[in-house]
Amino acid sequence: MRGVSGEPVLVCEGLVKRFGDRTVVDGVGFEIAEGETYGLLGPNGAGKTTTISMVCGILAPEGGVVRVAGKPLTTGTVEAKAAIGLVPQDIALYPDLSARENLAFFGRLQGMGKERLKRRIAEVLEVVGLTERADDHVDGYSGGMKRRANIAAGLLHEPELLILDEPTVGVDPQSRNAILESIEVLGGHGLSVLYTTHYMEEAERLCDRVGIIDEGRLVAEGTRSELLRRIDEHTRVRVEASGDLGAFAAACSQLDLVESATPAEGLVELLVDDGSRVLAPMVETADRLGVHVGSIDVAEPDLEAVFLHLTGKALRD
Amino acid sequence: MHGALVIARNDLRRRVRDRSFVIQGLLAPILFAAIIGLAFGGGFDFKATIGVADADGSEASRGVVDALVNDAGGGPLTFVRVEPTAVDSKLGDGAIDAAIVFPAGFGQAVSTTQPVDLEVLFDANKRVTADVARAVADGISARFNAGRLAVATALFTGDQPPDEAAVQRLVQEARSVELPITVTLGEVQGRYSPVAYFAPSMAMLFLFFTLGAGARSLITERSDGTLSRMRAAPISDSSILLGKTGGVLVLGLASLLVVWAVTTFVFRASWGDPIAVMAVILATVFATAGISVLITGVARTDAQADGLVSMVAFALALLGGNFLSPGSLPPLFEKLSLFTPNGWALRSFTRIGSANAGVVDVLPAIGVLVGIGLITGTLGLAGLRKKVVS
Repeated sequence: MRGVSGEPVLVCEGLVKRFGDRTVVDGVGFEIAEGETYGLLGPNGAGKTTTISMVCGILAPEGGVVRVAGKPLTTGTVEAKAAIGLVPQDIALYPDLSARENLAFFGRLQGMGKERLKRRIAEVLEVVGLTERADDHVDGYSGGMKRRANIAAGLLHEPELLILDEPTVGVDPQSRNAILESIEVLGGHGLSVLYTTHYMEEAERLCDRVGIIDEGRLVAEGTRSELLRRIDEHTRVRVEASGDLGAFAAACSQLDLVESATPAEGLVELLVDDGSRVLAPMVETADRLGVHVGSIDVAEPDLEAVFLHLTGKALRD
Repeated sequence: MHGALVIARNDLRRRVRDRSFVIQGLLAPILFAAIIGLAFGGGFDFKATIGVADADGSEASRGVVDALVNDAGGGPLTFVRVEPTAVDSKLGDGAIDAAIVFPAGFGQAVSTTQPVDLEVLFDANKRVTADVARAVADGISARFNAGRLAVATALFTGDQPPDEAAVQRLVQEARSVELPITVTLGEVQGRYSPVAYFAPSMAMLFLFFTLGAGARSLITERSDGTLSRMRAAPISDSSILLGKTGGVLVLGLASLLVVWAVTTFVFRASWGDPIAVMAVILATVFATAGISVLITGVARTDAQADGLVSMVAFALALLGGNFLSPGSLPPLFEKLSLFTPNGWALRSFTRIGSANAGVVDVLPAIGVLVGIGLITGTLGLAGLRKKVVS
């Protein structure tokens, strides 16, 4: 994990948003430091998009404050918004304009000068791999290309904080990987990123810290390790083997870090505290007992398990 | 202000590029005006052929028929002699537009106190010609009644009881008095071209569609997400509204100006004093933009706004007289048209084009149009603001 230092680029405190009688966001607060990638992980309808709409000054909160780069941000402020680059969940581009024309329009709205705009358009098109198709209309792009152009528009004015709202929804695996790689590169260059997703694996791959949001509340927050420590989950090791599996399971259960070992049809399942440290003594035990090991599968506990533990439901519910 | 200009420019470019503006704002009004103009020929002239049938054959009826048929004054009416039995067929095949029939007994009636009734037959589709023919018949009746009145007056005021010969002489002289029956359509300051009338008329109709589409784009941008991206940029919500409405106004203005230029320089239509025309065009665009913004402000969806624009555009055009020639609205609609921007604008364009009116003459209408634009635009912007920030 990257080190994080400096003053927070984003500070949210006690954000509240209601639509009618329904409280969609209820006291959400978090900070993002310079160069940090922060993930807001939650299922659809958890309040992620509403939260970032308040962070961007698109929606006015009923309660709470937002500060971006040290400046207060409301729907009426202009200065603080310049520090934000938004990549909305929808493809927020004009389909009848080319990527270059879209970028030129949104860049002008950011107050970018002609020369800088021209240079930055070329740079961001290169970053998202659309240089060759820059002058084609967006409506002729594939879903993945549209997503990449959408990201380019958020990066154009070199914001201090890039906000991405589920940028990989509906894209093919190849484009998804390209998008995630781009974000990793940006994070590596010191850009602060707020990333919302309901894909646990994206949050684990990209984010330095993760906030778990459900029904408008931030139920937990921390690094992946910190979150995993909050739940009493073990690494599962499945050993497909042949031989005296009962004796093998009994021997494994005596090893350090092994909580339990259960024989089943053609396999033994172990619950361990540290999968990497238990593998070597386990294989030695198998050799000693003449058990032939076919394959070993190690399943570490993940954020999905954390979410399940904290909310009682799965991320994709 | 910078943000508003950027947004307006982007909207203009997109509307011009997708050709919807060119079709709705330029080609359609010019085409419709040209077609309707062609239907009216070179001008709003009235011409009719009225058949005159003599079923009486008396000296009196022959005299009037001869006088009418031999009149070659070159006016809007042409009288042709028609056999009484051929009136229906001539009307049916369009050879005549209406007919005046002198019934049997006409000559006898004019010498007595019996009423003088002329029969008027007409094509039901040619109401104006029918009215004119009826007026001519009334005029002939009045002429004979005047003659009879003159004879009666002379007999009543004479010192001596008149002898039979004197009475006959009076009757003859009364008949010979020429009471000219003419129908005159006055021309004011030359001919007012139908294209000059129908060009702004059709341009106004399509202006609603042009401006409606522009205003509706805000709803579309909200659902597409581009509005969110704009609102996340360092510009105010007012700049976004200003940019969107500014683009709408420029499009409307461009539409009417191009229609004016094309019909003036290509079709040789005279709209009248250019300064007055420009003033009315500006006020008309302002009023129409206000109504379009109001419609967009109250509509919940793009499709709803689309339907409302069409309904309002056609309702105002029908009430305002956009589909009719000037002055041909029924009296009730004449009054109703004053509740529409179309009515005020068309009155102004007609006055400028046909009566050499200047800016001062149409100032009241300009004031009404600007007022409509201000009221509807203010209400509409309040609705749009809610859409932007929600």
